[in-house]
Amino acid sequence: MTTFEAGDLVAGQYRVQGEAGSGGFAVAYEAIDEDSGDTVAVKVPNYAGSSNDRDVIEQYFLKEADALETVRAAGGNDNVMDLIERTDEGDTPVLVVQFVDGYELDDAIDRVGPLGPAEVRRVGIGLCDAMSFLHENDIVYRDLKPDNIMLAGQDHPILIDFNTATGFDGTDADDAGTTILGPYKPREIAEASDAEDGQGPWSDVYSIGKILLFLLKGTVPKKDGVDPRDFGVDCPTYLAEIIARATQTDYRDRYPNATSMKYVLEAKDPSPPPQASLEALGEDRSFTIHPGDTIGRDGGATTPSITLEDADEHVSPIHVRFDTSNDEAIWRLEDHSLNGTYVNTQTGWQRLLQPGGKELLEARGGDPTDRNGEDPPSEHALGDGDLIALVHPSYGTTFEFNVSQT
Amino acid sequence: MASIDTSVNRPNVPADGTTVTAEIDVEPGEQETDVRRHIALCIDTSGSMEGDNIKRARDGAAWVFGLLADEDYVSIVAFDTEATVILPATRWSDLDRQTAMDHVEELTAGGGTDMYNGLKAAKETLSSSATGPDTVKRLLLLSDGKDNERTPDEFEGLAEAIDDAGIRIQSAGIGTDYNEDTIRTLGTVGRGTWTHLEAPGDIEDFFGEAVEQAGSVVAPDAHLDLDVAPGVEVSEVYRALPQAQEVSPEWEANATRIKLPDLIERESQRVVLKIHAPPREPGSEEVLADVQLSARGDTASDQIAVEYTDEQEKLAEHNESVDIDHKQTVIRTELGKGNVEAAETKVEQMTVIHGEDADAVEEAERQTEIVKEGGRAEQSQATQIVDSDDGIQ
Repeated sequence: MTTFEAGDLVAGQYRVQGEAGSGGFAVAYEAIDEDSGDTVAVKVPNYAGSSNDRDVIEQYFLKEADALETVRAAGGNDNVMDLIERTDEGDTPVLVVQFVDGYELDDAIDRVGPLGPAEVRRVGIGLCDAMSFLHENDIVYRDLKPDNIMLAGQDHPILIDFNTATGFDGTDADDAGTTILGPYKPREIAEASDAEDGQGPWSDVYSIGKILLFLLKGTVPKKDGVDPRDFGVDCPTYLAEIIARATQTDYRDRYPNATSMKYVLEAKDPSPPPQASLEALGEDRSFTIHPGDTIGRDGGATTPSITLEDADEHVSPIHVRFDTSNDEAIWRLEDHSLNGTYVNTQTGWQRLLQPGGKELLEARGGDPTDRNGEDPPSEHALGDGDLIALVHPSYGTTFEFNVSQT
Repeated sequence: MASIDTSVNRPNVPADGTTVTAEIDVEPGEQETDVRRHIALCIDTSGSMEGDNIKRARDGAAWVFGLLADEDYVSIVAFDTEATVILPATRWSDLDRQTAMDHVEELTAGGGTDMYNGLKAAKETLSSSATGPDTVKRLLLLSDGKDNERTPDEFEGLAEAIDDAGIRIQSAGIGTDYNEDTIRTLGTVGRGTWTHLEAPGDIEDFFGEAVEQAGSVVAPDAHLDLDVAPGVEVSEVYRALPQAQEVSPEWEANATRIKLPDLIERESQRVVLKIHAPPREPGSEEVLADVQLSARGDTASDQIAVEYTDEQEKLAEHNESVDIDHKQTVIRTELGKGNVEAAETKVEQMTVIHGEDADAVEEAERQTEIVKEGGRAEQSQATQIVDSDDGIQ
């Protein structure tokens, strides 16, 4: 039985101040790191306060630990809870994480009432950042809803509770005889026979849209395509239209991914962000590209915007990502892979390889340099007619990139 | 399309007969056509609603407006010392939000609680529009008080008349002064659910969930027809899902009809009952009851059947989960009425049969304890199994 009391020292380093909160699988304590003096949160499996089996609780707890480790390895994000240390106290696994001084979004709204449009917009941008970050690192977050988000200060959202981030999604039919998933999940998830079916970065967009309505109103319906003004919310047209578009039933009517949704929130303009096009050379396939769109192979934890078949698995689940620069005029390609990407500009093929891929290649005794013998960059600007090849110019499909003429 | 599946706790019975427990699971199938909703809000505006309750009731109406589609109908009835139609049945596309909100502003608190005439007026507004397989009519009742002029029996009669008019009732009591029997009777006889609202802030959710659920109806006015063999008797019939409710179906010769709440997409229903198997020759397989589900013009059938035998090994075969489901439903129904003693008696019976360590027994004990310590909120929660989506966090 693991319950701590104020004054207990955990893992020889963390002095417990008191309980900070508990859920079905973990209980969190506020503690002081005696080495650094920092306030941290210490999480342990919630064996006592849950009706679930001990094994199940531990399984979920360890899933959260794994997910947070992946987040840390990817460099972390301002809007995602940081993992500080994974340790033990006796036989009990312990997670030391960032202490967030604030309330869960639903509690925050209960306490202070709905937020104003300016704050809602900033929370929306933060949530888009968090979801973009998780997506580009191929981390699934299945349960985006207000009680899994902490609000630090007025408008800084931080994603917590990663115990459903991988594997189980807790959506199976149950004794209550219902598989209804609540208002934050889009139809393609609610109706998926297979959990992967139809889901993608557009599913996050729906959840964020519904959360923004919740923040403006304090209640949220299951209905799709919600315009806050229809529910009596006084809010600027741009925000109302962004939320209505983000929550459409058909995912093709939504923003394609969280990065694109961030773009329109920042611009305070609901019109879709700039588009580019991608043509698969030698194949009769072309794609529309939006900021934040990704290419990857089938079989990863998340679904890329463009999924490629790759039996040999040299293509990473999320291999590359497209985005625009701040002045919106210049497109860029970011490598997120283990095997690298090539871009053919006027000066020939340039290799791109992100640091994680570099390390892996070096560890395997490969050559992680580009044609000039230098460390390859992890991103590159894109112009009309540039060619993109995943892994190597001779491997699989080569794409031609073009900025749309609209 | 909807389907049914029946099971019994004892598939083999002795030649001198016995009483078995049966359950009928109903799967709703998928919604094939959009439904047109006709929603009547029937709101208590008596003096005790003054303050947050009436304000939140207005907010609740405003919330409903956001959920309506153009082809839906809405009406609003207020009742205090008398019943007033605030908004007659109107197609949503013929209203604009501001006009609708102006009507809602007429909801002000003051006076007595003539709930009976409020319900009658709401029924009339709902009866003014067409009825059909694609029309879903809902009367949403919100009250914090008692109608002292009328008995629960009179409300039962009214609820039957409302149900006969193709209207389902969702009833909610708020506060601690409303008549629980009345609210429960209306929701049960009206084939909806009844619920307790703990705080004014729950009103919007009550209205909102009822309206959204009405939009997911697969088949309004579904029912089960039971045709039993000679000598077979059926007793203790309950709806287990969506809410634990006792039902008293009327018999005509060897047949009865168990009315079901409207079938809702992705929400299974379950009916549990006791059925007496009369003495028969060993070695025979007997159909105790033919069960037929009728939903939206379609039918699905199954049988409740047992085999008569004197082999001890076969007689020992026990499908415990059917037994447990029935007992739990009885316990939940009693807890819904606040009958803790009756629930405790049933828990003791469960313990004898299934052992004190069985998960279901522990759960029933826990539920009973919660209601014993708690109030109306806990009673109402006990009748609806909590979604495990909330349990896994």
